[in-house]
Amino acid sequence: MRRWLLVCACALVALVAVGCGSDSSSDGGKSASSNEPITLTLWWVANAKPEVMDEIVKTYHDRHPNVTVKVVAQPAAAYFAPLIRSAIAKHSGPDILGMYASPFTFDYADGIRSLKDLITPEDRAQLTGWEQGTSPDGEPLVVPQDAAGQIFYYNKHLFKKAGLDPEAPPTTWDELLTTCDKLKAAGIVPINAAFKDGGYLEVLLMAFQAQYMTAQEQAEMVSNPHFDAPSAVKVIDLMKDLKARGCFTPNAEAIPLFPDGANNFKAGKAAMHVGFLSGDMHWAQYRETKWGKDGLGTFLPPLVPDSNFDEPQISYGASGGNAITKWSKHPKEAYDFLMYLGSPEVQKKNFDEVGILPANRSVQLTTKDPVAQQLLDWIRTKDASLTLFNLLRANVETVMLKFVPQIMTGEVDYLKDVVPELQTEQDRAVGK
Amino acid sequence: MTAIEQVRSEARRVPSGTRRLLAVRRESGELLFLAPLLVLMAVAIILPSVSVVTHAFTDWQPGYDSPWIGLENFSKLFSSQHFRQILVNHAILLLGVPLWVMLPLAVSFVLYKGVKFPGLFRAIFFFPAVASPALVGILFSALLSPVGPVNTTLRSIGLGSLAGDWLAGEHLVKPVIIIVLAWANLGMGVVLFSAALSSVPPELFESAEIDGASWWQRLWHVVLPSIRRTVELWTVLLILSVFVGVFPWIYTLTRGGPGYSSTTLDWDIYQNALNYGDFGVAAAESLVLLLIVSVVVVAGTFLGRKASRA
Repeated sequence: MRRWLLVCACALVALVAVGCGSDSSSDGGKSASSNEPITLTLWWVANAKPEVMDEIVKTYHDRHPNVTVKVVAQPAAAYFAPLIRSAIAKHSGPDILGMYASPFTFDYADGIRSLKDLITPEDRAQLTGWEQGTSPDGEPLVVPQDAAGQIFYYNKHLFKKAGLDPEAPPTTWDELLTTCDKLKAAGIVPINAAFKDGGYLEVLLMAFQAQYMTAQEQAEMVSNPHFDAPSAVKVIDLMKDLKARGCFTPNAEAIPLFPDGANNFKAGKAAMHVGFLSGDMHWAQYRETKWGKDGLGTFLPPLVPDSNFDEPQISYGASGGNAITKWSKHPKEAYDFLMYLGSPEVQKKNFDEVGILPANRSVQLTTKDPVAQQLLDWIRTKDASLTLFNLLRANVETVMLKFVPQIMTGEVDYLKDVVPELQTEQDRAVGK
Repeated sequence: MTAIEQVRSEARRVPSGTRRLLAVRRESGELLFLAPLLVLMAVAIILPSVSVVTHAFTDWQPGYDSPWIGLENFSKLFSSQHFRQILVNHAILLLGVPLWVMLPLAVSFVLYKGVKFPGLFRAIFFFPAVASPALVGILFSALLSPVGPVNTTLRSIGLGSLAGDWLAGEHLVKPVIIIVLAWANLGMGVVLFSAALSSVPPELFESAEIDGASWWQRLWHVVLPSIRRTVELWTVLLILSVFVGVFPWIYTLTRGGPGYSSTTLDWDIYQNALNYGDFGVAAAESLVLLLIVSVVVVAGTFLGRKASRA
């Protein structure tokens, strides 16, 4: 009887082990001939109009009937950890991961396939952002998908209410401070802010740091990031000064950017906000608000004191992208689909219907929206630059975000307390 | 002959070998019913625990080579000022245990003695115990936000100076978590203590009342000693929950911040493993947590047995 029990128990364990260890990657291990049906699974954090992605996928399937792309929208808060980390640990999951065309992706390189054998010179010429998604040892990891940057948006109705000229937003730091004072006097929160989850200070650094960065800092942003650079310290000091002057939303260190901070600006609770050129918090979303239909304006980050720039420039560069996983059974098909996403046709569709700026250099964009047109003009005419904080590795960013509320309240000092942590994490990530 | 004597007499007539076989059959039947649970425990608890303990001594890269590195993960952990901060955070959260014990005890005593429809009130107090901690955490996040109902109410009644960054202030965040947990733990405590009180002879309370004892004196000198074992059990469970039960609250309320001021061991293990990909350190930290929990359980069991013998 006991022997029989033991046999039953072993059989049960074996069943469970087989069930847990089964291959959950998309195709059950079949290798495909060129016409054999295959399914590619793509994970992403959906944008504001996921139905547009559905249309794109359907069009691709109509043209390639043997390829079905299953798009799985994942929750933003759990996307990188635990979902992607778990998939990498299990060596199973989707074929394609929505990623950033930046060193952020390097900390997930264990699960991402190099694209070296797949990229052609024509592909490189077509899309911008390959370099940022290429690892320090020269492996391209990300197919660029879109471009983004940081820009000021403002509510013209609130400007008018405060007695400000709604067509003359600030261009210098002094003008920004004067604008803040007038808005405050009218009982209006000057600049929307939300520091609890840390991202907003990074957005502000991305908007302003380039004005103080040296050529060496720019050149070494990826290979040898200077977290202690005066450019970063000066911008943080300026932001703390804005906070001390009451220019930011009160108690912003206790407000998370998503969804509360982003929603506060949409709800008309502040006059100005630093948002993005595309993706989240961008012009198309604000157009859908009551005040945004005719009251949305935009301006470039004002010149900071002692700026290296002669006139305001635009913070802009490659942003989102997609990576192919190491366990994908169909990397070639996945790459072909990603290059389709980077094609002029799809990139234009994404801009027209979702407001996402393209990574494809050849796309001719037109728009009837005056704010969007202004942004396109600046992209074409202004010098574009990225900053260190656009190019942080994922683990380094996690550390930075953790300390932002305390940086803004003064409980910790960025240079003394946070920089050593960032450097430790950077060294650990690159294997020092 | 009584029925029992008859059964015993019949049993003595059965040969000893047969009796042994019957005993084995009965035992096997019991094992058969336990087998699925034992297998599940082995697969879901024991095997993963053994895996974590062994990987704590490696540079664990799941799915890749994980070389043995001895005590390096532990050395990294114990030399980190953040780990020390985490232990201090736990020590401060443990200061909430007396509140989490006395509050439901006082409420149970009031319900036992002095209200109409005590069952209805018990059901109301029990609500937090059945609500999802994640949901409650999100609710409290909204309540305690800078422009949430708590601050708004304080400002509207002229106490605006008391309105604060409840979840963003380094020094405020842990006391706030203690209060939130007091609310969350209230229901289960009330139910536990109410059940314990119902087994106490009412004459004890009556004689204390006759002798002129105040409400507090009855609670301290009559109730507590009478339900001591229940109080001890609840205390041990609460101490354990500080180490293994606060993750949903930290995740929804503070994400361990600001900085590390509300980071707990379970939250840090999650961060190390899934945010930083540092699985070896996370495993080492899990082993430390396991040891702490084991000490609490053993100490609780030992003290309980000692009290029973006394």
